[in-house]
Amino acid sequence: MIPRLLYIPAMIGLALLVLPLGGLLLRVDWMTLPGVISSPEALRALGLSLATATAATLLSFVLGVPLALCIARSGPRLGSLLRALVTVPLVLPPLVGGIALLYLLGRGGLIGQYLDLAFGIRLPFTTAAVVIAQTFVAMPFLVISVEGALRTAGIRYERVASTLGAGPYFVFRNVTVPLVLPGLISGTVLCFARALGEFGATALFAGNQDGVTRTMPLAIYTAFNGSGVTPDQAVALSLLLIAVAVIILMLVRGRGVELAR
Amino acid sequence: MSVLLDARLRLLRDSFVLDVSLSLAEGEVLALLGPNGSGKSTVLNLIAGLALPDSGTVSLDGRALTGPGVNIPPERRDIGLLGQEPLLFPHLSARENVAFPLRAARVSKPSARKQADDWLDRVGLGDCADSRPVALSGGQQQRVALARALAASPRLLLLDEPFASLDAETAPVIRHLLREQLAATGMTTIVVTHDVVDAVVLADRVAVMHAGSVVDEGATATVLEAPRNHFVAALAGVNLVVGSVVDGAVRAPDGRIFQARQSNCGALGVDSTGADSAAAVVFRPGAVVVGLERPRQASPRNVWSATVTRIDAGSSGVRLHTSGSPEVVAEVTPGAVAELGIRVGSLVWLSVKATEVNAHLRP
Repeated sequence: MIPRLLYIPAMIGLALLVLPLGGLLLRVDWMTLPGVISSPEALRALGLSLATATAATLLSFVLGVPLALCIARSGPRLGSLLRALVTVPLVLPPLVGGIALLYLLGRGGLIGQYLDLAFGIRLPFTTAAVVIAQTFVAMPFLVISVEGALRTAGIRYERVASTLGAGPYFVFRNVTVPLVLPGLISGTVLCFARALGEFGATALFAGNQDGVTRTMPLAIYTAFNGSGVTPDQAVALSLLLIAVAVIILMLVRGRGVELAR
Repeated sequence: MSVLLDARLRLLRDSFVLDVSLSLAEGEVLALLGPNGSGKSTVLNLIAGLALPDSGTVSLDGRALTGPGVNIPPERRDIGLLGQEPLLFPHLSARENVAFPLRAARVSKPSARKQADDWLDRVGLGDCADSRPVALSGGQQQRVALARALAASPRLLLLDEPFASLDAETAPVIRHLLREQLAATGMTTIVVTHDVVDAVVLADRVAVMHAGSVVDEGATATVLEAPRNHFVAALAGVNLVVGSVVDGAVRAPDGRIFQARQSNCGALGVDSTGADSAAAVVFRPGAVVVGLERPRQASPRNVWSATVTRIDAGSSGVRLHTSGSPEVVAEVTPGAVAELGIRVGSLVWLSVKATEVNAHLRP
């Protein structure tokens, strides 16, 4: 039972989330749409976005799941500290994250200068920088979601498994991961969605170079603000990004639910 | 018999001191009895390696598991633990659950599957192999958990109140099953319980724990018949007669015959073909009827005469201790004692209805 007055803010909230997208749809110029979204620039941006978001999600998965496990299994004090540290990028404006990454990994940065000196590696304004920026802002979603699932699952099943002669790796593969699979899937989906939409940190740390670092959000921004182009192009690209994101998320969700069963 | 397990454990937690030494022979079943908070479960966790003592040693089959500079992790101890809750892996079927320890030991998939099916048959769940735990009742889940623990074929099996979460109907069935399986496998076992019936049915030997130490230890019948400890007496709180099965009833060492309630007789009948199966009957002192004359009743079963040897205050009346081997306690109202003029030394007739008597087979 829901108190009746609560329907009012609920409906306003829903409208706030849905109406802008509706407005966007109304602004679409259906005549020029096919041309815009099949242009080489648009396809390059889309391909780059999908590739970098996938790479960032994989990286977040490989690093984030073990991190989540460490946080979930550490004592209450260390646990809250680590959880707070992981949450920082979530509450930080992505632009600030971009600046921070630049000062860490940029040519004169804390680590960047040694990378440059020792290996001749210059990260900023490369595709790798895009992946790092996306990972920075997206991984916390995966870590928080998986860590919560791990903590809820507890260690009772793992203890039982160990008294049945199962070693840590066997338990991780056959007990821990399957038990948190729903959290793992939703965390990964969130992480991918966040990486796909990432703009601020990428813009500052990776720049906006066509074919190298210009992902869909940057392409949309460029189309909207750039010289000699119409906002219509931005609207068309936005629609493309939304459509691709929705399709991918639906596919993964469907698959994931099947897997979790 | 050779010593299989030797454990000396000391643990200090706040003001609680645990100080326990236990040793078990190969094939022996020990019941660890004690009230809540006496440290029974802690002892099991320390032996299983799920917790560490402040000092002490655990060795199994001569191999040091816990000791100065030694701490073998649980999965390499060869010690199984079955707790109050079945804790079946929810994402695996019953068969996959039972096959789990085998797969962990790198048994091939087909072989693990076949062995798991055999174990499920042995616990009477051959039909449920493909079921997920959520589809099974509490009793069925505990059966699967038992099969899983046994499938790991540990050197030592620890049971932590394995019937506590089961309802009154299911517990005796699972207890009987456990007794069968322990007998069939000859598994060395420690069973932690606060139910005297578990000790009677399952254990050769009993250790009684109180506030972190073992206060009494010995053969099950000896400890329970002559409780040296207030806790055992209280938890016993019941009359326990250990004897042998005769014609579907239990005969006490002094010849008295106790007929158990109908649902119990079946269990006795099946096994009574064996010449002298050991069994025990349990009944409440309040169920014993006391009179000065022989009750008019055709069957001589459950009726006997005895002398009152001691009278003391019970929880809800007066407790009359009466002669016999073992002694039987009857609890009656103070009014009845006064009316009948019972004193120490009085000769009384005692009887108990078969419906009040529970019988249990013993190992």
